[in-house]
Amino acid sequence: MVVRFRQPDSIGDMTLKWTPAPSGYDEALEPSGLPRGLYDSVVSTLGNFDQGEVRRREDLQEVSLVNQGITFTVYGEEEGTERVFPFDFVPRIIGSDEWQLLEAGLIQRVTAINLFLEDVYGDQRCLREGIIPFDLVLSRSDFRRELIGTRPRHGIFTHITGVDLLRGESGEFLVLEDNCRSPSGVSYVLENRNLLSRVFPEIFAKYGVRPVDLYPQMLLEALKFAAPRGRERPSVAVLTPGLDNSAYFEHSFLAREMGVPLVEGRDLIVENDQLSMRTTRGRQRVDVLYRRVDDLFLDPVVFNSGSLLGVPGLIHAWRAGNVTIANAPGAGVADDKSIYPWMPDIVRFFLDEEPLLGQIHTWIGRRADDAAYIREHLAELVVKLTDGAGGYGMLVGPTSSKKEIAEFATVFDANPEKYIAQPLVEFSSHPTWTGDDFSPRRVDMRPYVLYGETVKVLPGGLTRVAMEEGSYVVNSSQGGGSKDTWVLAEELVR
Amino acid sequence: MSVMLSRSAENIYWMGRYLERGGNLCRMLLVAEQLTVEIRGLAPSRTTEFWEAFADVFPGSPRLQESLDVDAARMAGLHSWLLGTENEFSVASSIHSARENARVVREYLTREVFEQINECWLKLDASVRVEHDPDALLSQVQHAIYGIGGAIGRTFSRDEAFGFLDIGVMLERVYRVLQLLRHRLPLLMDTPSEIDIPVHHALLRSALRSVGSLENYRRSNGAGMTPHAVASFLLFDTSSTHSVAFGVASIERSLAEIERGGVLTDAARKLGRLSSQLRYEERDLLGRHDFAAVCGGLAGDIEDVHESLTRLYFTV
Repeated sequence: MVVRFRQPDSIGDMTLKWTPAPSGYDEALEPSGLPRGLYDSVVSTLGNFDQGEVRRREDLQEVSLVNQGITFTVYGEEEGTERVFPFDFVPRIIGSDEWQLLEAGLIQRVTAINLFLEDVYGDQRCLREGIIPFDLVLSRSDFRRELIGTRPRHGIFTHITGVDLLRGESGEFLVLEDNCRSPSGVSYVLENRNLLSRVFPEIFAKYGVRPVDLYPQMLLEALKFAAPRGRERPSVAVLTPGLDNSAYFEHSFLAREMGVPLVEGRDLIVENDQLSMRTTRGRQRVDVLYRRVDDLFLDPVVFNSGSLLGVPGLIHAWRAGNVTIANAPGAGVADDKSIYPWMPDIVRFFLDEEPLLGQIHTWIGRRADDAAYIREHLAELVVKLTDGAGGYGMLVGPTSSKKEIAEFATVFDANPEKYIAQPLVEFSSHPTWTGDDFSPRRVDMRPYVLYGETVKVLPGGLTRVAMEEGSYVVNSSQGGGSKDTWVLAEELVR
Repeated sequence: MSVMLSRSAENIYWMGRYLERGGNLCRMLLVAEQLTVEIRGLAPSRTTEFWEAFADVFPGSPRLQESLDVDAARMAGLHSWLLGTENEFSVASSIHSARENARVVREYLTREVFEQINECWLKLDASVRVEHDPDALLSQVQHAIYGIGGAIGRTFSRDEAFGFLDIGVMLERVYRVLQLLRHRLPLLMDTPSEIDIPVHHALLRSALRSVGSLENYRRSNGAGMTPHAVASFLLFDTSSTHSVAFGVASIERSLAEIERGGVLTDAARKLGRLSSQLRYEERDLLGRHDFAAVCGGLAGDIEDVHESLTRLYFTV
């Protein structure tokens, strides 16, 4: 059903079309095509615009993003290609009641993840008691044997976690994956809000939207809390691989917003197990390093000896307790896609609670039965590399051609243990401006969870949207865009 | 941010240098365009030489092919110096480099400053792909660069980062003024023949306008214009923003702010010497037979200051 909103005569007499999702859950529209309660005001406000006005504002939005340099670098294209992350101005809205449940589930999950990490690099109780297979954990590429016996300050491994969520067919949130290394995207959460409030201020009028711009302060507090013992005024720095990294804008953004230096490996030096940065006033100690560099490149002495991105001696300084690395090296084992199926058991084991958040059934390639099932059902499944990210190296069976499936089967057969598979979840859609009208596009969401003195969740998150009709791929590297995510303080304040 | 990374200080310093370079070049190209209109009929060879002489002000830059006619020299000059990507000193290359430096030090810049720099680069980048009117583009870019200067002036904290930015701007400015004096003024020192007087004056005016100092000169010296007076003004005037003395004093001040009364550094010592020379040796410097060598020597001193700063602050 198509709903048409007639706009006031003073603006024009054109109408904008809103089409509900033909299948799956529609976040904003009822199957009848009427807006869900929370979306009434957004839909009616946008109904007051004609196409020309929306396009004008969209252009303004685009120019603003380009001029501000809010871009990411695309790999595999011409060197240094900067691209704007497409932004859709129709906000995604989450009510306060639902958010409270989600927040509790996220806090529970991140707490359990940290206890799990402390355990696998410590006593390994969960392995010895058979909660999760010993060899599974120890064989993960992100498990760092070198770090066994290391406990970071306060036992916190994941100071920042991004948890990717989908809404299932009945609208319930499900965890798709955890990001425990250096989850990116939060800069877009803040910039999207900033942009939307300037370009479409009218749509905020009837909502009490919880602010997201406290994030840099929350992050800095969490990082400072993790500083080495005895450092009363700890110095914090953000470590970036450099300008060519796809997320460089974000690294720079976070350093700027927190008011701390953005450093590269060449700016740092370890002497006597202490990390320092080279400044115009000589070497200055660094207490907390918020690294946006993968484990293997952090320290050429311990990991990849050819790395120029890290700092020789950094891991030793960290193990000596003289510097905090956030997130801690080795944390990536918790977000390995092979560990994911055990996450509910991990929550039960460490917290003695039932998981508050559901997740998606997963077949694991390293199990012979599962591998056989995956192989037989490639056309129905989404198959992913266990240590992959960004939508690379995956197969979306139901939308792939026979040729693509056959080619993927050959790759899969060579190393089935490197893959997991999940059913294709008909995840939720959200009205999205296509240039002509508002059509359903699939969305996911990544809330950000900070672990400092307490575990806190930013009230908002990165809603990624598949900009192509029918597409399930929301990754920015593959053409996805993003939306502002509103968490309401109250359902409607006016 | 209480600490400043050495690498960031260097990036900000170079950002300042590239911005200044881009702005200077825009102005010099606009002056060259106007001079071409003015004197091509009177002195075509002088007009061609003027275009060819850009390379003298930017040592290491590609030279134009010699013996071109006026139109060919103008076209080749505009091509090379405005959007030429093969010329690392061109306006486009300078603004691109300024923007690349700005991208890596965004945490030290205000949003306004970064946006102005980014917009300026985007304008140039878009122009590469479309046919453009060079004079209109030069004016637009020049205004954009003034906009950057305005954003810096109005929004940038007067902290260490600003000090390095200002040093970069002023050092680039002083160095180019000295190169310009070194290569353009000696040719005008000889007394012109009657027929050459309009051309001679046009070239002197162009020298002053190339460094944005014509109006300031007139306010200080009146309409009379001699090579000696122009040289004196551009070297020793203490209030004109593009004179060497003003620039050196400004660098000294910024460096003193950065050093906060610490031990006298090598860079500060060199600047002090240069400053004294400009203050007390005016007659001696102007009276020397080889004016080009005087300017070359001063430019060499500025290069030394750059080297000292690099050793002292950028390679800790």
